[in-house]
Amino acid sequence: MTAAPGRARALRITPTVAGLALLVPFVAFALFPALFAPYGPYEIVNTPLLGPSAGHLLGTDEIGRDLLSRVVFASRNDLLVSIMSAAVAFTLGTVFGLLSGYIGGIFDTVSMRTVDVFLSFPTIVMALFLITVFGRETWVQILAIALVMTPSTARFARGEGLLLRSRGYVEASKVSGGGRLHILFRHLLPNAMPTLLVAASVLASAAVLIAASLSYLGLGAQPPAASWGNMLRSAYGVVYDAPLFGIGPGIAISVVAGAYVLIGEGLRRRFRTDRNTASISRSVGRV
Amino acid sequence: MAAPALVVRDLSVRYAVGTARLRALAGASLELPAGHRMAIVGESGSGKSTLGLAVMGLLPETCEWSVGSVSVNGVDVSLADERAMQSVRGRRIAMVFQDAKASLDPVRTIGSQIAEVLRVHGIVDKQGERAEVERLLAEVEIKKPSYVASLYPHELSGGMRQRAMIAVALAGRPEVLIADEPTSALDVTTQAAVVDLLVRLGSSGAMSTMLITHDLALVAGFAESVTVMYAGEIVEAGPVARVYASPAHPYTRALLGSIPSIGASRMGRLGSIAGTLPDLTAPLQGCAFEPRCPVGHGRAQCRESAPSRVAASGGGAVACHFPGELPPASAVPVAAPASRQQVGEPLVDVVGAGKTFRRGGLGGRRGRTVALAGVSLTVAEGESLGIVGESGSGKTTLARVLLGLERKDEGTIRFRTVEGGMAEGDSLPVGFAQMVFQDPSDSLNPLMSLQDLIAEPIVLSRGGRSSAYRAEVERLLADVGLQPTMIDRRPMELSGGQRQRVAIARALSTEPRVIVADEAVASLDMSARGQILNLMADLRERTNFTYVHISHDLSMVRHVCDRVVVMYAGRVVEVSTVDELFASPRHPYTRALISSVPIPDPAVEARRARVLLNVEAADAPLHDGGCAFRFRCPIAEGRCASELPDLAGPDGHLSACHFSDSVAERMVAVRPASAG
Repeated sequence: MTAAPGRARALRITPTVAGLALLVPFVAFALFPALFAPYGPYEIVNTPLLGPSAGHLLGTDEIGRDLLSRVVFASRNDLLVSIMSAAVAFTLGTVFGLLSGYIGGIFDTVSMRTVDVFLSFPTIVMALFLITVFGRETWVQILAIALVMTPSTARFARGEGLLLRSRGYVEASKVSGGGRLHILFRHLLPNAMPTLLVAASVLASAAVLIAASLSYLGLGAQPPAASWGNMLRSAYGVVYDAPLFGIGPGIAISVVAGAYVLIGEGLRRRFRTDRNTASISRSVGRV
Repeated sequence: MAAPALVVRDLSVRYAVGTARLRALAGASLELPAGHRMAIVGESGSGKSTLGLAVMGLLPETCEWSVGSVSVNGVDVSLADERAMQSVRGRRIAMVFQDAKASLDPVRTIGSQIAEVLRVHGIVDKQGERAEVERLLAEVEIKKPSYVASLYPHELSGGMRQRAMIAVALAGRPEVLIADEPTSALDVTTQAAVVDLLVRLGSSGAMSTMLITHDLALVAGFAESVTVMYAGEIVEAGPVARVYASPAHPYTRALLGSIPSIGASRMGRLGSIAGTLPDLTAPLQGCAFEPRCPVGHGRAQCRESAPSRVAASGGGAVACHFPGELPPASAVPVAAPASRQQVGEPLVDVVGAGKTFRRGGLGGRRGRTVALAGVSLTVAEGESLGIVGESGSGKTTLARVLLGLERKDEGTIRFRTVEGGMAEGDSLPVGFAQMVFQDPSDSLNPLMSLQDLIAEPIVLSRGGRSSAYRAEVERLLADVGLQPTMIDRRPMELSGGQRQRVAIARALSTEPRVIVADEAVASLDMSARGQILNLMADLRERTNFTYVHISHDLSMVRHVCDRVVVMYAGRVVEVSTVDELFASPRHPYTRALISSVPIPDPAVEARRARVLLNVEAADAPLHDGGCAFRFRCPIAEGRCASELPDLAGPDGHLSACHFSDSVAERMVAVRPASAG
């Protein structure tokens, strides 16, 4: 196929490019917060609850810390939690789901009924429960969020497994003696990957929102550590005194969640997956 | 000749594919005389379907088209707007599509769909509607028309649905009926009946019919004239007898030589057409067929200038610089010796295999389908065994059970071990048998290179990495007639025929003892079919594999097999050597099958009589202890309902019919006078 003449390929703004452009600053914040933040995260630098000004672009919080610096430093926690939990949910859900769809029978029935049981709990309640029981460390948070997202991922991947199970190349491999794991890694996973990657981006986006909700409820990063969710919680308490307090963390959450979805949409177009992102997010990203 | 019913002049259509333009039709012109039956023949990509759609004004909006004119009985419809076309469609030109299931509305009764056409075009008034619907259904030879009118499409069998679809098309009393592959989805006996119906409808004189198909054999029994298309151009047209007897275009000649026929003697090899369709997005210079042409390839005239249409001797026209010229002798395939007939020891022995599929519910009777019922057969070492039958006969299930893709419910499968003894198993062991699937674009993982695809069975049986077997893969590629340099390509970069070669190389890679080919050429274009069948014959000459061919295509089975097993409704009804089966079939079903296979020779088709089968009710109790075929059998008697006939007979020619010995006389007695 020939490229359209006179249009430079690199300049075309695809959803992936837009998503990455939005996400890259936050990744930089997460990796090197000190380079971007004017102050330290715990440094009390001015009077509390100042509005935005030249000295403090987002204002100050309830004890006089610089809000911009807090938002920048919170990136590390929020990105880590969202990416890691999406990765864990993706891995577990994909392997279980594909195998469940491929093997079928009792294995499929048992695992899908288990999925139903998990899905019948409201997501947040489930995560709350897990964190309450196992503690508030970051890794517990990651696992809790991953665990509540795994069932829907598994169900989604199962559909892909069902679809691929009757494909000729899967049967051809079976006839040649290909075992379940061989078929999973050699045939199912590579062919399901385009669709699954889109699902992964939706998962990451959902994870940002769940992480923020948990922090908002006081179950995420613990003060004085900053997270976008617990900053919103503080903002809520002083909403009449400092109405602009929540703007910074709010924008950060929306932009990052949106960036993931944009990347997913770009991947979908790139791979020409038949299913649209909206339908994928409906089945995977229940928050 | 009467005034033409349909005239197409200089019709060109281009589809937008990305930024490129695909040439679907390039200046096609044809005339369909009134009351005439014409067939348009071509492979995929020839533009035959585009032609039908263009005439109907149903081309997608994304295509560019330019047309001299399309006119029906003198009325120009090429410039008609959508509104005007609505009164043309159905009324002047009607169309029957391949898939009646998709073309009929599933939530409305057959009767109401026919009545809709009557109402839209104001054919009859409200009072006459019901009678007209029934008349139309009777016209397409549906018994009990008033009952069928009240049914929904899913309640009809495939053949009945296609008849209903034709009735819908006839409702507007069209001047031209276009049928686009109307029988490709049907079984061979049903296909024959539908073609006979189209012939009858087309012979009444009032309506002209145009059959669009890829099947040259079918055309011989249907058409008065034939138009052959290649790469968007009409390369030859003429009376069917002349075209088949002395094809003027090398493409037509090659096509006719590439199809096996049950009417001809068994040849060693089929003709084939090398190469593939040219890139239709690239600008064309010279004759489109030149790169593949046995006559014109390399000739300056063919390379440089496009041939114009000239009159062909004996009638019709041809677009060729050298019409009627025969290819040089070296290019004519040499008849190879007939396939080996010595049959070795039993290699696979199936005894009483049974398989029932249960769907939905908790073991309710409703969802039970008996796919195999007490199937016994033997595959001998080194032979080529054909398993034939219509859809639902259980032939594919049998193959899947043998290969372990499906688990049998009962029966035993025995196979000869390397030591020479017989062992028993749930299926044949891994490595004993390999399968060539119907559709190579489905059976080859699109993400894997040829190297990985062909080496996969080797890696699975011997371990290691696929790159360690590179030399073997290159040798296998050469064996199946592909360039070893293609080793790093992916299936998407190959043509259908090349993909099937890869699938065969893959099946050969672990040197199995049995190769099971499930409709291995059914998804391929005609020109590729001959190549693949020849390849299989060559491989059989050189190697010691045993072949099991599963197919609905009796011509193909007759060409490549030594022995045939005929299946019906999950049972074996006849087993015989190929020659004996075709010379003296002992089961009425086999007789019907053979008489339904189209023969690509108009002279023979004109003289043939078909065995007409009854249409079986969708809920016929096939496994109630009687003969399952009795519902369709023309010679069934009371005994057939109560007694299941044994599979027995002299000298290995077995058949499961109570009247095996007298079947020929009995069937002559019941043959309807009108058939043939």
